[in-house]
Amino acid sequence: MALTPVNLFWCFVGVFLGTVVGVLPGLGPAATIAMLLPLTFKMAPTTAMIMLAGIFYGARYGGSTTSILLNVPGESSSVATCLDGYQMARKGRAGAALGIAAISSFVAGTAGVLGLMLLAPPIARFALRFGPPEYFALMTLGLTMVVFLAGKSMIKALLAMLVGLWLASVGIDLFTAESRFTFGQVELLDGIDFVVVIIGIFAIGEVLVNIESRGGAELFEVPKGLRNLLPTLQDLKDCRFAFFNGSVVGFFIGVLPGAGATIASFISYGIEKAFSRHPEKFGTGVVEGVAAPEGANNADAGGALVPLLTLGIPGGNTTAILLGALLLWGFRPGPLLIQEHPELFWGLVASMYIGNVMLLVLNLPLVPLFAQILRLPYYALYPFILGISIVGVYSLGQSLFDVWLLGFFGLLGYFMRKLDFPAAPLTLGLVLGDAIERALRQSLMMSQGQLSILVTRPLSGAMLLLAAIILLMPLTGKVRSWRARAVVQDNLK
Amino acid sequence: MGTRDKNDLVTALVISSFAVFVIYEASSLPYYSEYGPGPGFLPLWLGIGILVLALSLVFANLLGFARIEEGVPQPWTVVGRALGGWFGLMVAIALLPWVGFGLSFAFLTTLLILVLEGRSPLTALGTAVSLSLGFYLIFALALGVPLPSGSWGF
Repeated sequence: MALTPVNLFWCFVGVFLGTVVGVLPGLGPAATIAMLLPLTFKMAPTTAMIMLAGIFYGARYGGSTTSILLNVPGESSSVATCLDGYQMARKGRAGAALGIAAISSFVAGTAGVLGLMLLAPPIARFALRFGPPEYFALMTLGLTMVVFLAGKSMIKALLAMLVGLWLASVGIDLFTAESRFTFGQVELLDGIDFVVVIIGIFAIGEVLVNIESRGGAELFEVPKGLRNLLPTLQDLKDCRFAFFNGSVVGFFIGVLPGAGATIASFISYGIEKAFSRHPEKFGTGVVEGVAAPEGANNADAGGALVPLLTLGIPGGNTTAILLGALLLWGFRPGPLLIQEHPELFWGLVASMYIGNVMLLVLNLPLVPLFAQILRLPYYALYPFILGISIVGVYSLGQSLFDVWLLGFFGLLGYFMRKLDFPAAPLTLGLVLGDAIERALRQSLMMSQGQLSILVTRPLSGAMLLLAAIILLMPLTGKVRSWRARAVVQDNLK
Repeated sequence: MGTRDKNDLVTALVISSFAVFVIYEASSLPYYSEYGPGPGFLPLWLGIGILVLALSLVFANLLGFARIEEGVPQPWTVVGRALGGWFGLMVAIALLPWVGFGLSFAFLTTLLILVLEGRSPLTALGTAVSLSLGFYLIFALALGVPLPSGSWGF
């Protein structure tokens, strides 16, 4: 049924719109789906669902483009792609980065759909075992990825992470409706939007660093010839584990409602670095550093549809709107959806396979075109990045206050770069702050204030133990180097 | 003590002051209630964590544990250029409610190209007009994305 010309056409429209939405920073798939929902009332429900789902996973593809070319994350789940993608662009490998992002997204996106098709009901039942203590443990595990994002100074990375967690606490407290750190500003009652912070710190901060010196005519080297604009066979071989890592991590974290593609991309990046033979090169422009997070944020889309379709539980804003759409059309998402409406479920699964192919076909030929953006003379590129940042942030809520905050975080991002404070841990803290606080307070409410609930439940205990091991890993490295130095000194005596 | 160590020391002292502020503000919020941890619970512990880490950075610098390779010291003029660019951005943001996105963005572009990059007025104006027009055509007209508008409605 998904292969009818009408469905194929609307699948293409969905993935194309999703890619455009993903490229533009600030615009998200949730708002786009909400805006287009009324238009879908004249379509058959399966057709409409195919188009809307296409926007959902198309946006994950598009988010990598500005992350790699301009260090402007198009989506929150594309922040991890900036870490190595932008560095690859600086080395003249923008095309390879864009190409590997597209290929990895295709491979992991297809794996996510396979997972949805084969594992949906049992995985959904497993996801139900996740309560507040398990979510707290999962978020803590996500925060330990700071170990892999630390760079030269662990203290500075931890400081950045704690500041990110604090930023997440600004606004109205969820449980008591008390305002925190709002300084009397009404605009801060809703908290600080994540997109404002990441665009400020990454994009504006980067522009300010580049403004320091008068550059040449072209900012980055753009290789000539199609062959040099795409990933090599060696690149694809180097990314074999990243494809697998991104697929598995993205899918399983996507299944958990509320976990989000951002945490999936960071965990995938951390795992890739941990298992790499050259972890010290991560952050300088390695192809696996792009493939892993990009794969994870696409496999997450397939995973996020599991609780939605099998249990009727939306995992985030976008799937919540998709749930609303399903209810409007008279469907009841839940355990009986596959039996009562197999045409909807299997039509959607089939369209996701086709959509992933469409996205690859759409994006790979566009790689040389996108890479030409870097041919813009630098004096035009900087204002372009500033303009796109202002437009992206303003589009969130038409608030000039957000644009002022953008400027402030831009200055913060600049000084963080100058003083060697890594930005990724701050991002991680900001993304996970709300969720981790909510999970912790719910857990303590459940246990009447006993912290032991976090370690006595098997799943959360296991994840917290893993988090502790990861946090202690840098210390074992230090102990080994102290011992080695002591041995050398002893031998010299 | 090298330049980088001094920068780290000053930064750590600034962050310590920020941490004290966070602890002070969090202390005025309820820490615990009959239903569990209150709104002050996590911010208080975050403030304490930030203070501990900032003081660790201070001591690590004073005792020489956190030394990173010095590198070439940068003159203040390069920081001045960046801050000049940032100041131009903030002025452009301040102008948004008065003149709208088109004119304020054109002002920012002209400032960056003419003043900071030292290009000709023709290059600056040409780029400013092209980019402003491009943004309007792509975002406002083609995609229907709202741009900040001024007193004149655009």
